Amino acid sequence: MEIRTGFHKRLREIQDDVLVMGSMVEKATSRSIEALKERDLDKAREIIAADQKINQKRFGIEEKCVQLIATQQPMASDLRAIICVLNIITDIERIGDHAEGIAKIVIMIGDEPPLKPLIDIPRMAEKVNDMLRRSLDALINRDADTARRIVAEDDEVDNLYNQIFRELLSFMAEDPKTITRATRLIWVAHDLERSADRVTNICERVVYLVTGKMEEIGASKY
Amino acid sequence: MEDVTLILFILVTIAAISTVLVLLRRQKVTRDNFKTLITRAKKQAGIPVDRPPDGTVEELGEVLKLLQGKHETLSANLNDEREKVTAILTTIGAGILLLDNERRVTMLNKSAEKMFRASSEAVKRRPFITLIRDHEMDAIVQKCLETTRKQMGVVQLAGGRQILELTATPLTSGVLVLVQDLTNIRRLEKVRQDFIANISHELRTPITSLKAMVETLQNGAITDSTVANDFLQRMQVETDKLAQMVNELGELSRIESGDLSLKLEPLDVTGVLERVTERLSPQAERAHLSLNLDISDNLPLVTGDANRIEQVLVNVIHNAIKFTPQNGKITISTGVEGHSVLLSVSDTGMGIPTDDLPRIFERFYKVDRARSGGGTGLGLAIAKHIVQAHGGNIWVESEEGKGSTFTFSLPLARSNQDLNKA
Repeated sequence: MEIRTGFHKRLREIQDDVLVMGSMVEKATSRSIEALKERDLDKAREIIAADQKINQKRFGIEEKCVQLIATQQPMASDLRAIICVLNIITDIERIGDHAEGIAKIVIMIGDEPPLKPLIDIPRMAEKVNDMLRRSLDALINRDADTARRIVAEDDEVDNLYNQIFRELLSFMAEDPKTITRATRLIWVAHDLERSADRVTNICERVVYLVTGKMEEIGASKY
Repeated sequence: MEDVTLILFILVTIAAISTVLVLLRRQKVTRDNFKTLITRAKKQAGIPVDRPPDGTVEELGEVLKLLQGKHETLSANLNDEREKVTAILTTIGAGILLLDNERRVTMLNKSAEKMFRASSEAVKRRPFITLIRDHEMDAIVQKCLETTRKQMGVVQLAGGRQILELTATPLTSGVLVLVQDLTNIRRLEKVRQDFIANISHELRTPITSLKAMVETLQNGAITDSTVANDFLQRMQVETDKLAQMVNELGELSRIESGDLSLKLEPLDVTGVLERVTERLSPQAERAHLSLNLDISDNLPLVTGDANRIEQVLVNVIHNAIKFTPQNGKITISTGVEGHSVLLSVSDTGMGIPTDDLPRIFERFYKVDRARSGGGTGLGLAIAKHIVQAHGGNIWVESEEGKGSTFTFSLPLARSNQDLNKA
């Protein structure tokens, strides 16, 4: 029993670290959109530099997980828990990379005049952050129902993406001079859409952790 | 025979005397023990040891009773202190949390519950990060535990809207965390900064023109009467602008400090609307805009100050004229809703961006500084204060590129309200 108590305590610590990493990535996403809105190149550079810390955090957690497996040799659901964490941190790190991608686009844009006021893109970013936060809540609370619900919300993000795409396409069709700027905004939206997909991966992992079965939730439309 | 009896008698006597001696000795020892106990007990309870104790059981009993009394007083005091601390924690505006050495939450006050949308019960014994979900705040607390020194930091939450100031103080075991919401303070600071930058900018333009013209006149242009007259005219225009600015600032300051004296009386807005339209028609014409009046029939009376309401209309229509390009249309219309009369000013102008809509009635708020060309940015703030002082509301609907509609409500005059109820 001593050993098992130590295991659960360490697993909880690892989960806390996952929440810390989640917060780092949430802020990176949110700040990248602020930098985009405000044409703040310094902020963008900070985000790019901070991505290193996110990667370091991920490796830190990975090491702790490997150590825990090596020293405690957990079985069944305990082992599943650690493996899920290992997978989830990969997805979180990728979301961080997408935020870094947006920051790089901000630097590419420099001080070009804005094509249009940003409304849908910030909305997408808020949605992504909200989904990420709740997916990590579901992880801590071992809540498969919430996880499944979040996967369904990915449709909202996809719809926003399509809306943005169509709008920017019409800009480009009307005036070829806007093509460069519009394309960059499409990339930003694409980064956000990919981030939302990563969150659904996290949710699938959570369901697997709780039920022991790998479910493919939310069948593709295609 | 008698020898045996004698020996027995002596033995019994010796035994009796020994027993008595032993008992006496015992009693003394007990007494001494009691004396020590009583003295020690009195010392501990802080009761003055005025006379050496007798060592009786009764005395011991008395001391015990005194001790019990002291204990009850201490308990009562402790409860009082606890109640005071609880009252302070419950009412204080800042969020206060107690964490243990492993950053788990052991207590949070009401303000903290509100700030982080959690209940005391749900977060007890859970790690700090699960409550605040912010790695920067968690890092400050961690640093405090590591360095056992007070740590402070300002953190912007994800989403960019809230700004919190965190102070982490190490305790003998654990950390005390104080959280203050700086969002409003920072926002007001920004408003103030905008205000000062704005005034400075607005004053600079007319003053630069005046300076230039004065210098030109001084350099000899004054001898040419045509030029001189032209310049004097232009200087008049600039001075008027400055005067208007100073007036508006004074007006706004008075209104905001609650010094708005309204002469409220039953009023037919039709008269006010017609007056305003007449007054501003020339300006609208110069801007090549059509100014139309669309008043409903049988408009009920409102309770209001005619001059102030005129001021509101003038401010709103001024904006409409400024932000509507040539050949556009401005329409003033009326309506009735519930217990109020509604007045609307619609234009076919450039509209207001969605991001700016919530701030449009702020002092000095200007949507696009470069294009608004003059004006203090106070017109709508003044209008809002006047309307609200009347007990009404003012709001705007707008679509960028299409136009805006500003609407404000005025309460119906008393007798009308009663009529409507009947």
